[in-house]
Amino acid sequence: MDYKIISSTCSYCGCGCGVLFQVMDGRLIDTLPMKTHPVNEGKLCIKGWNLHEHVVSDKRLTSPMLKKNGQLQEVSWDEAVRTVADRLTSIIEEHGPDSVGVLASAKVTNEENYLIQKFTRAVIGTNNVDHCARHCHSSTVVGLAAAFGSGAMTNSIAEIEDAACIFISGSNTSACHPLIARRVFKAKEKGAKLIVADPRNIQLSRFADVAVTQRLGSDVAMLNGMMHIILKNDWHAKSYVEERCEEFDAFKAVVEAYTPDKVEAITGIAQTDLKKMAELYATNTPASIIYAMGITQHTTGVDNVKSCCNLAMLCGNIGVKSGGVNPLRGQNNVQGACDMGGLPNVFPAYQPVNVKANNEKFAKAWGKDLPDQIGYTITDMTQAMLDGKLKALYVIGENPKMSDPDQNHLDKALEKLDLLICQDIFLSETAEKADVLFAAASVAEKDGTFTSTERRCLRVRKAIDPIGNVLADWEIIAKLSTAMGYEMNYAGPEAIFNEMASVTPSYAGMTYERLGLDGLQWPCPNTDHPGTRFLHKDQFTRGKGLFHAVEYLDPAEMPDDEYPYFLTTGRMFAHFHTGTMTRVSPHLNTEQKTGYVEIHPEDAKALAINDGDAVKLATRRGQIELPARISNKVKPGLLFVPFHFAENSANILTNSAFDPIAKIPEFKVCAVKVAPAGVKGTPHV
Amino acid sequence: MRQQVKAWLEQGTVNILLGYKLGQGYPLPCCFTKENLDEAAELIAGRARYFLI
Repeated sequence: MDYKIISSTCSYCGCGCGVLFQVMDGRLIDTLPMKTHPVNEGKLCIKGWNLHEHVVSDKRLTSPMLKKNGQLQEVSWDEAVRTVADRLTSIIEEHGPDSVGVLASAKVTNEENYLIQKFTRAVIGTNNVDHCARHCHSSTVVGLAAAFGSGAMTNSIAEIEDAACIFISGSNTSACHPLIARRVFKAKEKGAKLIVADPRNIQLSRFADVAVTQRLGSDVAMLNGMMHIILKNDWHAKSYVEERCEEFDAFKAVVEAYTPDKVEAITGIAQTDLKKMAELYATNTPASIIYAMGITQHTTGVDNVKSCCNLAMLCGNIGVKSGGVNPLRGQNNVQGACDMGGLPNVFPAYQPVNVKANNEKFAKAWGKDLPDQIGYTITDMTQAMLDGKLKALYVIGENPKMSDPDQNHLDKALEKLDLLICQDIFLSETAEKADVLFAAASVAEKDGTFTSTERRCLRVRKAIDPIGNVLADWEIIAKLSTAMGYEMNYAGPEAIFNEMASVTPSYAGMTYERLGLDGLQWPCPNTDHPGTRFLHKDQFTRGKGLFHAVEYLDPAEMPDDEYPYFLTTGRMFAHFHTGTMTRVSPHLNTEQKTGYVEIHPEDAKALAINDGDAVKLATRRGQIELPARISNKVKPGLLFVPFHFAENSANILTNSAFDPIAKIPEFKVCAVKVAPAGVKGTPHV
Repeated sequence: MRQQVKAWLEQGTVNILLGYKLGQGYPLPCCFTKENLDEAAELIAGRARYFLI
């Protein structure tokens, strides 16, 4: 018997939990939580415990494939790579490098994301590289960078349990980041005050000192209202604001107009609750703000983030242990994919592509002239496909057909491509449409690193040999690059990591040896540096913290006579994103096998809908049919649909209107109508 | 303890021993076998407890 334990990092959400893979005779048989890991301390969520199940699924892709006569057929790696190299070269010659777009991936390693953006810039010759961060936290990166100078979670996960107050807004933490919710519960046990603001009655609301269900998309008004009360009561940190921040007066002038009665009219939050929220946050320090997609996925996503920053600065909560503004990243390596430059405007470590010195630095490092025009975002790429400007799309570890808003619109765009290349571990809904399919190795079959939501760079270790004829993503990119005339001959992921660290100042002090089992948090500028637990100590990255005067704006689409309900979307606890990993995992799939819509009992009664009945939901973009789940989690007038289920995909309904700066779509708000579909169902238990 | 375990494995008293060794500063489960006798020198005792398989 050959039995071994391999330490690695979970590849579901952005917590960065340490796992141990159990391997028996070369087969991956189980996942355990690492007992001494600084993040999860021997605990895992239901997804983490079952991490191995998607790896060994019989639905894994096991060979590269080419579409021949309309059907995907297995081919050799040489044929698949040669075909893509030839077709990309031909498209670049005919239409120019900007006719190609690449989607990097929040699922693959830092090393692989580094190579993806290097390939895009140095080999294709374009900055058209983006990834799903556009859809989750692009507004965070913009908003935090504008206010503080750095676009990442300011504090660490472990610090949350020592906060005196925790304000959670737009994060269903116990369902989506369970190992962070654990720190919230520990903080409560130590006496912390908990404020929860979410349009739904989420689980954490039950444990809150004050919980409110604000109207969808009204966050700026809510936050301005809290700050109005704080200023009126003189609860703000005057010396901190004076010494460490700027533009306070313009901000204060705007906030003065957000009286409690005005805010109640916009948000639906009772004035007494708003006052309690303000008082708890301002008078219990350090206070930590935690948020996720409920803040970011709006046409006002950047405004929402800036308002969170305003609140934290107003009460002196930035640059202190257990305080901060803490966006929870949704995917295992979405922080890393951003850090590595999987974005159309920046090289690794957010060095702008259009700054001459940066461009020259990377051109020298990579031995190629590089484009200096900012490329397409994902949002731009859809329109560019429709306009015939984008001819080829290379999608790595993403499933845009399920994850992008207004799915029917995207379907039309994808049909206009000359070449769709997908690189995945499963035949996702997007991969089904590919002209060429590269079969990739999973998290358990390769080495590398992920960077978690708290900026912690963690090792991923190979536990088993690749299943079938698959290659690690970095190997595929290196092969393709070499086939296109730009040699990439790396001995392995560590060599790529070392090259990356040499051009990425915030990772410059990291090596595989130093990362060990518990990783290092950036910035880590040199090999003597211990990493950084919280940012902006003594001084903000940008110098002074910048207050922004932010006015409330309505969402792009509000209910009306034709579409009288609000619709919001999100995750449920057992599934992850577009379901490609969790729906093939038996222990997760059994928890929830179908999509559903949550509807309030009053609305259900008015529409003669019983629990489990099929209902039709329709928006201006399209319609779906799915079972109703009658629930008090939603308020009257609000519906909720999880977006994991392809057969009734929530993103057929969602609005593609986007934030003008971050270009993040407004997944969280649109107007919808609902009607019985005439099919009686089984009540949900 | 280490010498005892090594002797048991060497003599075939036990075929495998599930215990712990340090991996980059952390106690991690390890399957000690006759094929990797040298690893027995890394066996540690501590408070970490894992249930396996």
